[in-house]
Amino acid sequence: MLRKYLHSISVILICCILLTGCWDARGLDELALVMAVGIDKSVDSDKFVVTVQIAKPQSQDKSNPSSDEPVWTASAEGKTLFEAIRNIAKFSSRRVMWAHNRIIVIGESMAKDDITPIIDFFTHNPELRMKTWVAVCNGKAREYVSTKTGMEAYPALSASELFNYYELSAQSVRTSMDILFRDFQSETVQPFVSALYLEPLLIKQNEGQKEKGENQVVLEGGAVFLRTKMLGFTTPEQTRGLGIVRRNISSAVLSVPTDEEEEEYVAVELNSIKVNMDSKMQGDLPSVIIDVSCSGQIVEQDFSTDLSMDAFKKQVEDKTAEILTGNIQDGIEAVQKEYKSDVLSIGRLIHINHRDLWYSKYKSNWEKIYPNIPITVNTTVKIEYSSTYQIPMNNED
Amino acid sequence: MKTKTSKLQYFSLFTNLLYGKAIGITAGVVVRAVGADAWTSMLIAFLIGIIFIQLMAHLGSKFPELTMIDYSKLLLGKWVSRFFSILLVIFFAFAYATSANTLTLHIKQYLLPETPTIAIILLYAALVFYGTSLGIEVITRVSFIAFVLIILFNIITIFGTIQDFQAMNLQPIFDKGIIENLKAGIYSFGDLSFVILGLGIIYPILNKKNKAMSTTFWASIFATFIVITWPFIETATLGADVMKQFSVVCMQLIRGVQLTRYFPRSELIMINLFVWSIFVQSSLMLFCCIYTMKDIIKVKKEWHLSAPLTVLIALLTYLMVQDHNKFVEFLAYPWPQAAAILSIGYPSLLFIISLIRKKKIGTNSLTKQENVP
Repeated sequence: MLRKYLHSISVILICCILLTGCWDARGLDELALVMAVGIDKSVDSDKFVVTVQIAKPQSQDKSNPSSDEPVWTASAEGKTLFEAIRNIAKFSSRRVMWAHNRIIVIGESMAKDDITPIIDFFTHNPELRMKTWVAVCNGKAREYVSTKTGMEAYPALSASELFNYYELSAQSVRTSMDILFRDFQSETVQPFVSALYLEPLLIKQNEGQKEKGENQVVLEGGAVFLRTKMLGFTTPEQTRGLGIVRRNISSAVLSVPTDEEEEEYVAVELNSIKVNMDSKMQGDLPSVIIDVSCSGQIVEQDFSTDLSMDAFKKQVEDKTAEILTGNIQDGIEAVQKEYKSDVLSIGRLIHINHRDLWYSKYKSNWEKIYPNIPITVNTTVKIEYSSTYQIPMNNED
Repeated sequence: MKTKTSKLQYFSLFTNLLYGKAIGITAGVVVRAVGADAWTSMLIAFLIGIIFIQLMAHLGSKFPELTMIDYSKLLLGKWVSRFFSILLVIFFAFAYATSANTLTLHIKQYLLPETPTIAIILLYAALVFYGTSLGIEVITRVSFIAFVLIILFNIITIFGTIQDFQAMNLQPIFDKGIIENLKAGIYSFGDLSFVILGLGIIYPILNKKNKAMSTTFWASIFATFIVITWPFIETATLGADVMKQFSVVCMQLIRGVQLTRYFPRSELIMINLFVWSIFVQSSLMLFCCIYTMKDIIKVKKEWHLSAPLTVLIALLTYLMVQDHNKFVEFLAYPWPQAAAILSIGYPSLLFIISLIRKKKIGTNSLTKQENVP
């Protein structure tokens, strides 16, 4: 009888011993939940400086209101990134946990030095989400992580939410750790990362007068990398052009001038931006053709026009296409001629379309060949309708 | 075998036997050899593997009530057959160890890093031993549940990764050339051998064998489709250069899966849906190992053999995964090469001998010699 149940008894006994869950147990009250992390490289000591913004849950407890700040911001140094992070444990009463981290801010000095340690640490740490946003900031990351920004209780939430609405202004790209890692590892694509700025945009009431006050974190522009190092930033307009070609931006709002003096504008909302890239051989060098097509509508028009609706639409379409082409060409000019970084995966395109030539001629010399590749941009805009119909509101009478 | 199973359960076994290790660990090994061609290389290997699965099913149809161990005695004689049985015991022991370690790596690297490896291995071995001791019928029933969960898992993964899918990462197709694709196909035999040699043992349990060849064929095709979906999505989403960095590629893919803003992480969902399939794979390999061993060492009570054998195999599993890098290297060499030689060579040998000795061995004499486990 005993033997009949021997299997079951032995399994239950082993489970009792091994399933106690002690080894990886982590009580919520023992954890310091990192909401944002900033990483700098100290120029003097050549050490990593890690700044973490950690949530303090009790300050958000409505039943037990506290006057404390909702976050605890701290900084530590180390010869390696891992050591700097471990050094936080020297003064943190709780164990640092990365699972809820929303954003990684890379300081400008760190980005210009080498981002390999950041990629290595955060991609191999299983706690971290691969969809965590990554941005390079203008200046020190420490300032961005410690700045009170936005409307959320946790500043990190405010900063990370910017990445969900980046397409409204279409002047930045959004980069998550998985995208950065993919481009960083790729032989034929260079990383192009979101950029952050601090601007004194918060309006304060001061003795009845409004004046600009504290800094806010602004998501604008992009950071161009070549392999492991950042080379520089792109302007918002260049970033829009590059973001469109990288298929990172699929909608945008443009202010389009309708006359030669550029005094009268219409606002055009573009959506469904589609990009097609192709290449063909021109002598020894391949040339690239980028076709951009999109549809849109006129959403604001403050002046009257004598043109018929069709003629007016045609005029706006041409002007919009011209601006979009200009943005893209400016962006290409910056990354191809100035930074010589293939963020638009031109190398991948050549590899796909001219495989044999890629291996025999181009691959080994790609960095020298890439700046000389002719790139043509063709943009087609179709204005589907005007939400203002024909006569502007202030000209009706 | 006295135990019988339905066609549906038999059908589901194929996907389960191929799925667990192939979708992540084998995909990683193949991508390190041929880059973005991983999915084409695996597809070619699986299509070649289907030929040998069909060959095994054909042999099974010749001896419908006998296992591979039984009819090899008739075809090869007692001593040669025993030699192959010893090889098969070693194969199934290593097959169990690689299958179990697939789960160990998932748990150890991503979910429970502080938990001692030996604890995970012993607990899993105990569960698999329990499952095996309940019999093959129970394993095949669980197999059907695992099959449904695999399909659900694939659907979730497709929806979760579609936003990051980049067809450009898959191109150019056959970038490394067809010859390199074929050469790298050998790595997939570490998984295909589970089905080819496992089929030799489990074939007699199919209750209605009138369309067994056709069922086996479509089960293999379906399993191929379900498995190849993974290297295809992994390459398109992560890119070959990222895949090369990880030993468990599927978990890295799942780390990036975001099922809407409200489900930012999917690792636990994955493990819950995936572990059943691995359990079926491991259980069947342990079952086949014990069954083959019983043919070599005659014991009165089955558990006198199965219990110590399970402990030994659990120790082998632990020794194999102590160094994760060496384990992954083992999966690139010599495991797939050895598995390919055995899983291609043994059925081919049996098939050739069956053709030569066709007239000498009457079908009646074969079917009567049933060896009930």
